[in-house]
Amino acid sequence: MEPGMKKSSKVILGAMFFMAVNACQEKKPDWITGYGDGKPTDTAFNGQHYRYYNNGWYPIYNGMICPGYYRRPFFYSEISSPGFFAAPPAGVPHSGGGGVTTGGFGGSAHGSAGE
Amino acid sequence: MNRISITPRPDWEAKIKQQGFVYYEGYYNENAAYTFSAAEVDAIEAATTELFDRCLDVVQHVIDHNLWDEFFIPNEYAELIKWSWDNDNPSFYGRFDLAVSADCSQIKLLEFNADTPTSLLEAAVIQWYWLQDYNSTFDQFNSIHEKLVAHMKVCKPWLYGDTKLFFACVINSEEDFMTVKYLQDCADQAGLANDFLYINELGIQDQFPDAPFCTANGEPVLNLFKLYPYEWMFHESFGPMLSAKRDRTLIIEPPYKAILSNKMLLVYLHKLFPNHPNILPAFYGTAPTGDYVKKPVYGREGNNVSVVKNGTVQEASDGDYGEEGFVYQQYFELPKFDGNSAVIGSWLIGGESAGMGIKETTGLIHGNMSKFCPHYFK
Repeated sequence: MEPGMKKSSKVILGAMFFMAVNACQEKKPDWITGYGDGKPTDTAFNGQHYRYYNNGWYPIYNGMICPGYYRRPFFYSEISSPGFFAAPPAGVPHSGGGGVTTGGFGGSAHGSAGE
Repeated sequence: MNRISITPRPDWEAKIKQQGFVYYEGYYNENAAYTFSAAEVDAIEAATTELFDRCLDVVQHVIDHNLWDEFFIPNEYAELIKWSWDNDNPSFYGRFDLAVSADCSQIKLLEFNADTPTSLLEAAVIQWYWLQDYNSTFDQFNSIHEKLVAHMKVCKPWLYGDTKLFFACVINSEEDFMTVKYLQDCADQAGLANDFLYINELGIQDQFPDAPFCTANGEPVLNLFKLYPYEWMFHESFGPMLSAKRDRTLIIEPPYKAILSNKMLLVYLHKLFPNHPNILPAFYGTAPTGDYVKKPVYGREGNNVSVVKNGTVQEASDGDYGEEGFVYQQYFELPKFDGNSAVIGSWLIGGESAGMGIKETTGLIHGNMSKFCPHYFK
């Protein structure tokens, strides 16, 4: 800090931070609740929950769906097929394989967890 | 303390976006700045230091008297909280929201955002760069960045193993993401190995209950900074793992922040220090005489808050909080500047007063509709 000053003498941001800025500025599909005027219609097959939205079904993660990630909604006949699996958007936890369970934290958040 | 109208920099939007403030729309106001005298800043700094010491007294009191039920903290986490307190586990940061009279002769604590504070980037970085453009000879109460990097170096010996510190936040918030990425960048500058994951990607090894938390790919997470509140973690499926894995995964902020980030803190600050000049009378479940503000015990971002003056509700916000009941805090009249009232976000880095950010609103409740304004002092 410069003598007598209460402000930082320099604020330098690194390459990692600017990569994060760029990642934020890329257009990403939105996460939405998919609620219409009332309670949404949800269902579950093969351990995955789905929500009815825009004439089809989307996988639910943390209470939200991400329609923009998929080319189209899934048909009921698809999601109800044994062994059907819709790949989750990036960053969404999955069963992981190798004996790892994820998703045990994060379920209470609907937007920012900051204050 | 004063508010002045200023002309925004012609390229301000491009600049702040480049500096990571991508969540500024409807939140940042560069048409105004707040100005202070050096003596006023000294008073805010001194009050911040004093209040933090009193808050730590409350933590000790809660632990000594086992006030877990009073703080709505599940008893099974008492031992974890005590352990983190006795062990003096590292903490990076916290933010007091302070109400300040126009001459700063009265400074009152409104609440302590001790566990998951945001608005860090704009306080540490955005307003600093603004001042370089506006008048770099002016001073600003803001050594947040410098102190963060320095403090993270100090914290290094506390980390588990010679491994990475992971930074985690929720998946669907740009503000949280950039806050955590900024902190990760500070860690990088402090020489700490680091990585990032979303909080819902944090995993456990099914076959190895004694192993640390891990990534979805099974990489051990020995050190974790999480922008995710304990009051939520305690009630989620991995909650019990916090205690079971406490010697395997070090979590920052430390579990004792569950006491400090709780609105019951306000009640016990008043109970323990009833005549303190920086502490407003506050009660659980019972409104004080006179004007007051009603806040949920576990409220966030101004949700479910009511301001009652002369026996009538002047303003109320909605939300999903209030299950644990409400804290009633004596109302403090904030000075108005061109129809705006300002709350001082006073930052602590490693327990030291480090700077401030100002948020203003035209209403009575300071929530997520408040706008951030830069400041300087001469």
